[in-house]
Amino acid sequence: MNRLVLALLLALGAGLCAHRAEAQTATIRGFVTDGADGEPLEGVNVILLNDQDLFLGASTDGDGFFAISKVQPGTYVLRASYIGYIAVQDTLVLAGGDLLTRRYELTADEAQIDEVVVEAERETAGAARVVAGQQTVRASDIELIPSPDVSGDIANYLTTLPGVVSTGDRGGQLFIRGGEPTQNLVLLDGIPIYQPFHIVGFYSAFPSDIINLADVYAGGFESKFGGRLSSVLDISTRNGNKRRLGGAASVAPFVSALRLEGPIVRDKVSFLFSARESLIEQGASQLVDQTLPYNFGDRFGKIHANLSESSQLSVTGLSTHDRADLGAGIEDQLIDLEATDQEVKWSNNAIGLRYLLLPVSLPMLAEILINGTQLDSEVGTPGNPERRAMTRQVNVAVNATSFMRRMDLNWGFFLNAYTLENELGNLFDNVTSDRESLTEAGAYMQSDLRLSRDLNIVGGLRLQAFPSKGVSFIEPRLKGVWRYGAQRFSAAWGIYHQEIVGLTDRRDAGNIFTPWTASPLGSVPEAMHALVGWQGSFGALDVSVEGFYKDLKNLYISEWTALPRSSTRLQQADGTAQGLDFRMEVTRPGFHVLASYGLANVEYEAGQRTVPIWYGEEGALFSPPHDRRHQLTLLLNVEIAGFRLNTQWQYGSGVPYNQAIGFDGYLLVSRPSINIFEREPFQRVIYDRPYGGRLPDYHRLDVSLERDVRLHKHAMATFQAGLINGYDRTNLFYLDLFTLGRVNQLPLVPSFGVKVEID
Amino acid sequence: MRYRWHLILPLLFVGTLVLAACEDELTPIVGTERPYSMYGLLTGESDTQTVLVVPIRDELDPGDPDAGIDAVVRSIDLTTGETRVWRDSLVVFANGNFGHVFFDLFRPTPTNDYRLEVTRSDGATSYAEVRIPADPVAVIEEPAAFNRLYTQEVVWSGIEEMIELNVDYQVRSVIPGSPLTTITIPYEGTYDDDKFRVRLALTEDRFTVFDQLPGGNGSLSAIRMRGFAVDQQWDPPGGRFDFETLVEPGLFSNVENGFGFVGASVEARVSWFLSNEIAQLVGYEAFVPDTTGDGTCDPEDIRCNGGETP
Repeated sequence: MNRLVLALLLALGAGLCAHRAEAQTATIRGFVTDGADGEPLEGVNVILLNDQDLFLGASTDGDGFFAISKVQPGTYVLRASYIGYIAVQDTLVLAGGDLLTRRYELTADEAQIDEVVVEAERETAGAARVVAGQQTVRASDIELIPSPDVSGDIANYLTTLPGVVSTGDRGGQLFIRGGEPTQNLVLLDGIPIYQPFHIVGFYSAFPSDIINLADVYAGGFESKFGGRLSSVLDISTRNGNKRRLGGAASVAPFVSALRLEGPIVRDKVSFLFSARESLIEQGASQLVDQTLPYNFGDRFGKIHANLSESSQLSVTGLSTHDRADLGAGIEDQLIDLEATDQEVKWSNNAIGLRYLLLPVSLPMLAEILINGTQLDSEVGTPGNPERRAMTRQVNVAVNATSFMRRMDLNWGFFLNAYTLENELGNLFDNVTSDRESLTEAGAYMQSDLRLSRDLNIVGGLRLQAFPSKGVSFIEPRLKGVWRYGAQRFSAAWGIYHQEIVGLTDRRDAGNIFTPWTASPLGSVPEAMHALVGWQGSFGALDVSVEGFYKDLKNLYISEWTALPRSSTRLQQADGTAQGLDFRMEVTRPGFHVLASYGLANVEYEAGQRTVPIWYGEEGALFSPPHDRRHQLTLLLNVEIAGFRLNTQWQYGSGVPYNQAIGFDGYLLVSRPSINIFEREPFQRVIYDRPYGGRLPDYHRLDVSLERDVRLHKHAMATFQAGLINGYDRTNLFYLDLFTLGRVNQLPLVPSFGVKVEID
Repeated sequence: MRYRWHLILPLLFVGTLVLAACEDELTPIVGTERPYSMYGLLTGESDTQTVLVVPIRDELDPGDPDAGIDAVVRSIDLTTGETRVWRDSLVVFANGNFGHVFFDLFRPTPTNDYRLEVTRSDGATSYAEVRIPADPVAVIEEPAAFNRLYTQEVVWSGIEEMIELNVDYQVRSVIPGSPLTTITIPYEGTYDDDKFRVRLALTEDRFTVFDQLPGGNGSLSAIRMRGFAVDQQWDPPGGRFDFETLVEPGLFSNVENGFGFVGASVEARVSWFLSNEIAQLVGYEAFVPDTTGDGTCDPEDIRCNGGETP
């Protein structure tokens, strides 16, 4: 703890000292919003010009915030410009020590609006603009992916990225660059969401309608983020229209959705509400004449207030629910080994408060976050679950950014209180059910140093400690970006730990019940990320290549057992994940093509005590069931005669699974006094080498055709027709080795939907 | 620039149709040449020898019990060449499952090698070879004392490994009219210099005995050591008979071209008693035999019945 306190003091001291040095210069800062609805605009170029054409510049962040520091006294013209909007100019007379705060509204340029797709021009915005593992996803990107719904969903988008392996259209599990789903940190306006994807793989808990921007960090993420080994998905939501009431309603065979937004106090306080409910059991299952026992839904609400010119307050809430019987539909089941009517359910409930502040006398941006999130999950026979888990996290965090001429200093501290309750029902023989409360405290500091106009170096240090467990971690992080014309070379490196781990029995893809617990066998999972990439923009063409390597230690995985039963023991494993992501994107008016290819190799080495005896080796080297070696996505979007045609073809090479050489019975002949006539043998699976087989390749074509029809000046209807799995490929979701029953992914599903939007 | 959709889209469509026609084979059960798993015993202590035979199959379902089993079980005395064909019995276990237990009525000869084989009609055979241990002979050493702690060593000849090794202390409580009570303490021994040695901790054991004896004090009638002499194959990896570990196929197996384990054993048993002088030094009361006074031996009384010889 002493180290944490010291780090905190250092961070505060560094930030404040930096500000003292600014006294002889001026700082201009503020927010830029969309004049139509008051939403923040990210990526707006804000530049200062003087009569010598000297310019200083900045671009706005997700809150529409900008800051330009160390400005010499004088008269300047501030210009805020953004594609598709009329630029704003403001003449400023700055004196030494001035700290000006401004708010600008940009108005859409009607002359351009029909031709230009308004996009945040952040350097990481766009599917092929990946810098040091980071990519920005915009709502407009999500809408390009064919989905069985009129509105898109970020879950559907993420599966198009190389390095992201999905369990398919069932299960809602995403593996990012070799990491497990429980190693991904998913934040909604800063609130951690523990099970962020719905049971049907097309849907996350976050409809695209509410998303402002999402940053995907596939690895090498910065010091602000921690507590997870693999990746970060940081979603910021829209604030809601501050000018007038609006909304949308849609219906399709998979989900129905409703969105409402508008001002509570015009220009000051707004709300945004969204609700979705699945219609699969009533809709899609009728279309394919197949039992699809999946039910899910989500509710989202947000109130945002501009308290003053320099402060904002928002309250965000999310509630989700999922229920499914993943074993339903097993074909050719040979014996009734156990009751297959196993239902899995979970719900997320989260609420968070975010206070954004520009201190009156300091050139810095600060945010205070107070969040609570809870995941409840259970599995078992309906109404009588055999396993339950509750994970609750209460989080208080302060993040601050101090703006200097050549450096942004980010620092912050946080406090997390976890309550973890598990009734595991012998899921893992060596992990007991219990209730545990933990406290975590930590701090971080990170400098974003602009060494030259083209070179950025980001160095950071994160400290975190669990006093009750007696463990603390120091995590150095480093990132560099070098711009060379339209090309960028980037690299990142970092150390990561994850004390609170999700336990999943991956022997069975249909088993997605995930309790969370503090590292149950003592050793805390750890990862080292290293990545290096190149990205180039050549007119309408963007290309990127990025290589990554992750060294993983103390992972928690299931032991193999030859007994056909659902429980096993937990064991620890080390591993590596390495690969290459390639993306190419062409964007022109009315035309968009994205090709992405991921090459990956994930290997674990398990330390199971029986392995050395079983295979005569020290440990078992194997590829886990998410080791997809090749993944290819082709996306084509064209506009023809007022229709939008979205076509996506995805290919994934087969993932590992356990093969068996056969079945027999087992009798432990432990003593000569045993009576063979009376001792019943146990049914046994004689496994081949762990995960020695590969499932068939996966590929699928999805198509959707959309057309907008304006019903009124403020009302638009969108009609959509589409095909999921267009050529009815029989893709395997999972195989039950004990019964040889298989559950397939969705067959050919025609979909049609309509959405009416009022703005 | 004008894009040639009329070319691109049909090509894409045709390409996907071609891919759709490709169905990959899925082979969850790779199969094996090994025909059987077998679990059994050849023991010199019984007239009946048994082995459970389980066909290795490609389904978890063991199938129809009435369908019988395609297996012939033979035992061959590799020393004399005698071959015996065993009989099949269909056993329905307590939970309703069934199994095929083959048996034969004979008593294997100590020190002889036996081969137990199971053959399918196509000739595929699983087999195990075992050596029946020699009849064990025990030498009971005199008790020894070190710092007033008494020990006594039992040295077995003809035994390489001994399992289910227990020592029974036959004692009578000081409470008047108490019957003889047997208190059992599990033991382990060591194989060294062609001998299997078991060192009894007489004084330490006395504390254990008194803890379990009504009245907390009593006299020692006799000591008995019993176990099974087995061959060295009966030695699980890791040294423990841990079900969770040993259930993994191939572990703790002596079956060739199959899985399972066939053991060979001979019972080892010896009893003796301590003089009252030594017994009192160990901490017992002096033993007074046949307190009932009718002149007959209690059938359970090892000492009165003259003890047991190995």
